[in-house]
Amino acid sequence: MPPKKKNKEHKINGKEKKKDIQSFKKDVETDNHKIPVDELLERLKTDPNMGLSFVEAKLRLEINGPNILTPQPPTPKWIVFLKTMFGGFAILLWAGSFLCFVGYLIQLQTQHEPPDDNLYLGIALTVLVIVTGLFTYFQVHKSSSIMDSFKNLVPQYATVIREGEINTVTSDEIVKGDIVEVKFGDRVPADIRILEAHGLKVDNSSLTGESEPQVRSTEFTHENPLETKNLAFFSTNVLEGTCRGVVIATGDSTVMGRIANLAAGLDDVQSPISREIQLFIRFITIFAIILGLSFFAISLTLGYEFIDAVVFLIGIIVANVPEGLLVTVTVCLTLTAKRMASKNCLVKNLEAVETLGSTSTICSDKTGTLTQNRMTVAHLWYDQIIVESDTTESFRGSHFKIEDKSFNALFMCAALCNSAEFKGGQDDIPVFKKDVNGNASEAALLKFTETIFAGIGAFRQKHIKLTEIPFNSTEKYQVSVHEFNSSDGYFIVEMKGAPERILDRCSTIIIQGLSVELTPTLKLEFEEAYLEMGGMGERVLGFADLLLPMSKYPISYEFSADPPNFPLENLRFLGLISLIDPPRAAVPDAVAKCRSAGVRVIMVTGDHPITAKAIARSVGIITTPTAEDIAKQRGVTVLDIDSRQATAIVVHGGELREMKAEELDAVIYYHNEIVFARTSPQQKLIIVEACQRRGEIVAVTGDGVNDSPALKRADIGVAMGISGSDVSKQAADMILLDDNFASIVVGIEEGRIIFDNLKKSIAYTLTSNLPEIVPFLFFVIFDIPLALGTIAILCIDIGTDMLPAISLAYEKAESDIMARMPRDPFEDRLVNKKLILMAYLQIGVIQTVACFFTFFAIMAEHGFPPSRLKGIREDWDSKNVEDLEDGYGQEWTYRERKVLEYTAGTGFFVSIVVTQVFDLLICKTRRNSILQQGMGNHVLNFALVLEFIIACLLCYVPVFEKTLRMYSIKFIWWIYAFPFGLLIFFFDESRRFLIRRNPGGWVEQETYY
Amino acid sequence: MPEDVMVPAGDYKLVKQIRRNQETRRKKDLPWSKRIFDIDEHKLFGRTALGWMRITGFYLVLYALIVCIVAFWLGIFMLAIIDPNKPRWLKGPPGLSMVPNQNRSVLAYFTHIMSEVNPIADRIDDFLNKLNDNAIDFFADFNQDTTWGYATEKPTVFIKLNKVIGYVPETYDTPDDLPKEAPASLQDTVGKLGNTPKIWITCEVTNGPKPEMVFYPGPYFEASENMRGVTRVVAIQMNKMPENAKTFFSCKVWARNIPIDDDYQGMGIIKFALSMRTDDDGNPDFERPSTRKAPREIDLESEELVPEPPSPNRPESMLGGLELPPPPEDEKDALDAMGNDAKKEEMTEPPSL
Repeated sequence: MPPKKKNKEHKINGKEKKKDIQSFKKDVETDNHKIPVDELLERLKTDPNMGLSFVEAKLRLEINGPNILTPQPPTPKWIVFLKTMFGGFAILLWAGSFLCFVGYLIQLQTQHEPPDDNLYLGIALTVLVIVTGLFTYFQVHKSSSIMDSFKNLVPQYATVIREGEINTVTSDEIVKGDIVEVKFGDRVPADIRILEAHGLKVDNSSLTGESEPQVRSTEFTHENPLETKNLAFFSTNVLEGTCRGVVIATGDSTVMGRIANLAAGLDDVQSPISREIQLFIRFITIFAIILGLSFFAISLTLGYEFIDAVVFLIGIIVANVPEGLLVTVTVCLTLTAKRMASKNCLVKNLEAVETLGSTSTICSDKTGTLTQNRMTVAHLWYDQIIVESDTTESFRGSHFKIEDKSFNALFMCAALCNSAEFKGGQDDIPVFKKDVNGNASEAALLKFTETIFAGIGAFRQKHIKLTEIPFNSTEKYQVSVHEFNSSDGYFIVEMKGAPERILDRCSTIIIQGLSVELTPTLKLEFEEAYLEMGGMGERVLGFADLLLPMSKYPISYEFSADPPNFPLENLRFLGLISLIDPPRAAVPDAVAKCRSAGVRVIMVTGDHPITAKAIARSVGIITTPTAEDIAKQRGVTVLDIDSRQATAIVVHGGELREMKAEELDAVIYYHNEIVFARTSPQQKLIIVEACQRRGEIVAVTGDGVNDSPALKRADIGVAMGISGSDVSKQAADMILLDDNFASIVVGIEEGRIIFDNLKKSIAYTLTSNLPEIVPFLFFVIFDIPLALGTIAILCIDIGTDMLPAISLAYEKAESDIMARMPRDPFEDRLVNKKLILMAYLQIGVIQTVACFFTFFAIMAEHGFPPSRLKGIREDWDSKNVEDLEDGYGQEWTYRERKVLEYTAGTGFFVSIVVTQVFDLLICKTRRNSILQQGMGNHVLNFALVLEFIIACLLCYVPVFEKTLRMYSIKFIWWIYAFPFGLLIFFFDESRRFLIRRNPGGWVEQETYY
Repeated sequence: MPEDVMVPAGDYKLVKQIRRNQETRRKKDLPWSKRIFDIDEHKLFGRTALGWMRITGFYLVLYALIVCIVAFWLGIFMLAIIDPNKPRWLKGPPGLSMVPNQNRSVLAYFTHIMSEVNPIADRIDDFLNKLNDNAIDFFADFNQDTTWGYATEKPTVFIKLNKVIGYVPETYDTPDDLPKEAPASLQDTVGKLGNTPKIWITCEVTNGPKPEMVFYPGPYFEASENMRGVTRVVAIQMNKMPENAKTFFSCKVWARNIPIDDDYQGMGIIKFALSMRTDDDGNPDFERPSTRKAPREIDLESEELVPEPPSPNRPESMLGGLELPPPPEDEKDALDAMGNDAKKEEMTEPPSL
């Protein structure tokens, strides 16, 4: 039944997709690429040579708005402020303070000299709620400011013609009708129709997913705007050539803008941690209200006055609400976000940090993320040997010798038969970071030769280029003729191109510096080397040269390229050079860390499968043979192999397109190591959904606009800070400022640490709830004096307890945090049953007994043993009784009784502080012993000292007698709780010892929170 | 293939929520009876018998350890800290209390309405009976009408030094000893009566017309190491009590080691108020003060004399009181209102937070 239903849903989705696509397609229909240029220019009221006037441009800017994508309208600040001020526990505390003021007014009306306690308490609660809300709001606001400052770092400029002059303006000032010039290396500033083009190629991969450079020209070639050659689109990169065009769309009107608005339509859902916190708040709220109302009713039934019952209700609510918890959570998240920002992970959503910690699958892009995003010479083949070149950033090229004649010839060809040029003014920049004009392959060769032989420019000047035949797809080679000035000839021909094409034009090959006849045996060696280098997923180029004899080509010979008047046959083959975009140095370690952490890394790339597989193998994403490898090893065809035998698989985008959802699920289920190659962004989204169907928490990296839906869909979207488009950065939860995959691992580690530390903070904060609640229950049930007032509870929650709870955020990870499996977001919650049992029934009970022991001890030492206290409450709190008799027959006035009650209450408070110190020590770890963890958290050590200092101030500063009802206590009364603190410490150490000794045993199952 | 790369909005299910729904359904799929008692796996509320034994044992061990520590402390307390005869921490100076007490509000009553007078007298009787057996006899001179004067316009109040263990009075014995703030009348009293150690008491009217105050046994407490019984009590009878008026009193006790704190009742000072109403004034507004009688100065010398046997005039006055006419109709409403006020004012103080 379920599969059938699933198919039905699939069909419905398909229909809806088709309908929406038709609607979307209609939006893009335009004739801006069909009509003649003159008509278009007239429509846009512009001149191709003079451009717009400044006045006209300014006018159009005001009418149409700036050339930027409209960001999603942010939530108004006042709404965020109100949510912070009244959300969560705040509403409970507001209700509490309201009840306090109402109670005080009632007392004012009905009593002669009403006490100020309720007034003070109401004021305290109000101040607490406001301060906490403001603090949380400013923390979140500060985090948003980090993101805002990042946006301002990257202004973009464009070259426009206005009033006949070339101007450089910021991209957002471009308007429709502007004549813009773009060249290789630029980003297209708006949707433009091309007026002139010279060898123009653009990268439309972020728009269409096509990873090959697209030729652009002035010709109308296709009805579809995305296909025709005479349009270029906003935010795509220009890879080669130059062009001039007229702007036909800006901002949200661009194709990019439309897609971005589509992506904005996908709703966000709650991150795991905010969901956990919401559940926790709901649980505590319900518990507090039920308990409060229950005892409110019981109080009225037992004959208490209404005002007394209201006071119980307020006290129980305040006791249940962990006032400092939200501040603690916010500080933890903010602290982690800052730490990650310093490690190049910019977190836009504070709670995304923790989501990353529960990630179990990373769908990673390849180019720029796993790799360095620069083509680099990887291998050379000459003298019949494949030589490896260093592809790391620290390559110095020292082991290549220019004196080697064979290498020298290959080197010369790579340097001279090369159209790339270094941009000017980069003398102080390392070679691999210099900017180059030219395509990626030629840039790589240029940098390689510069590294081998510093001053390659002078070398090329010495052998100046006389003529050249550019590369074209038909012939697949390029040729250039250079001065040579040797004893054998004045000129030399250099050729570069597809290896098999080059070899076909050669009759000799250089070996050990000598030209040797190209025999079938040597050709076979070439074939083997070519296959081997190609099998590494590298792009292979062949090189050849020919020295022109002096007799036929005298010094005054005039070369021409069309038709060529120099030989292109019988050349000398020099060797092969293969290029690759090398992995980042940190990536293999990062991938290994992910695997040991139970996080699976799936490569999803638009690149070629062979290249993708080679990169995946070199960084450790694939470590076992694929089905093809097994087939080759056994000498059978791929079809004979059961695909489930291979744990690694490379899936081509074409195959993926034909797969059913079930087949994709099977791939993800049965294969641990997966590479998806030649994928479109839509397929990327399908892959993400398939992983999520399996229950994975998925992190996705991407930089294109069409990655936006996948980034949005992912549990955490990770955008590239440098190469990523603005839309993908908007859609993402986190931005890698250095475009480095290793930074994701930092995020995972921090996410796990923060989850652990939040658990510890919550456990620590919750344990004091029970000793805060029980005094009110005993007050009602046993009719004893109130042991702890509400103001004292606030002193604990926001005085002595808050900084220790925050300091746990600075705790380092237990053992190796990255050696654990990802946490199950359904089972391992922030607050689970075991944590509550630990907080309330284990540590909480010890604390409560300790506190009441101190309370009763102080009372008994003054003359009121527990037996005398039971049932005494009515007389105790009656002002008519000025001679209440104690156990020794002494008589106490109302005032004297209250002072004693406050003193014993202060003793109760001190007992909570003492036991909370021990509680803090055991909450440092969940599994390890404190001996293993050590006391390296200096913030926590400081918090311990500060907690003690705050407690002493509250106890011994006289002004607090009147305002907080805190009276001086004798030193011995601090000691009463100490044995109970030791019990907390040693009992929990024993529990954790049992957990470590029997992993997975019943103690762990029952008590590990 | 542009269709493949265009991603429309709004079409996708929110997989994250679906995943959680699936998880929720999985747990809900179990029937409720199975969740409570799964007979196949021998589980009750999700645990086997062994599981329940282990978790119960775990908590029993913990609570047993808690009991051990409590027992340890109790042992120390019983053996070394708690003395059955006196508290570990002595209380300090004694507080003051007053009978009858009205929670700082005005003690208001009608002299001719016995349902108001009798409860007051009963409270005094209970207090004196609790003191010791002969306390009532000791103060019998102020109880000629058996209502401690409340029916005959001579109300009596009792000021008590609360009983305290370990308190040793340090008295003022000569007029020169007295602190500056002591009233002038106390100077004379100490000069005359200071031959034996005494804790002095002074009372003054802070507001309203002044009655004639008579102290018994005198304006002092006999100080000794062991102040017991009636020695801790001074009776004050208000002769010539002003009718239909509120009178506010403030009484202070004087000893070196009894500090006086005006802010708190009972800390060396007692404040109270009396309002005696009669039916003499036919005017319906009871708040209007009546004509004031000529006050008579307190004759201190007469206080030293042992009271003479009751004169024949006093029984006649008492008899005359009994012959008062019944209350008029409109006074019933006033009585009801008074009763409500009394109840409201008697409300217990909510606990201090």
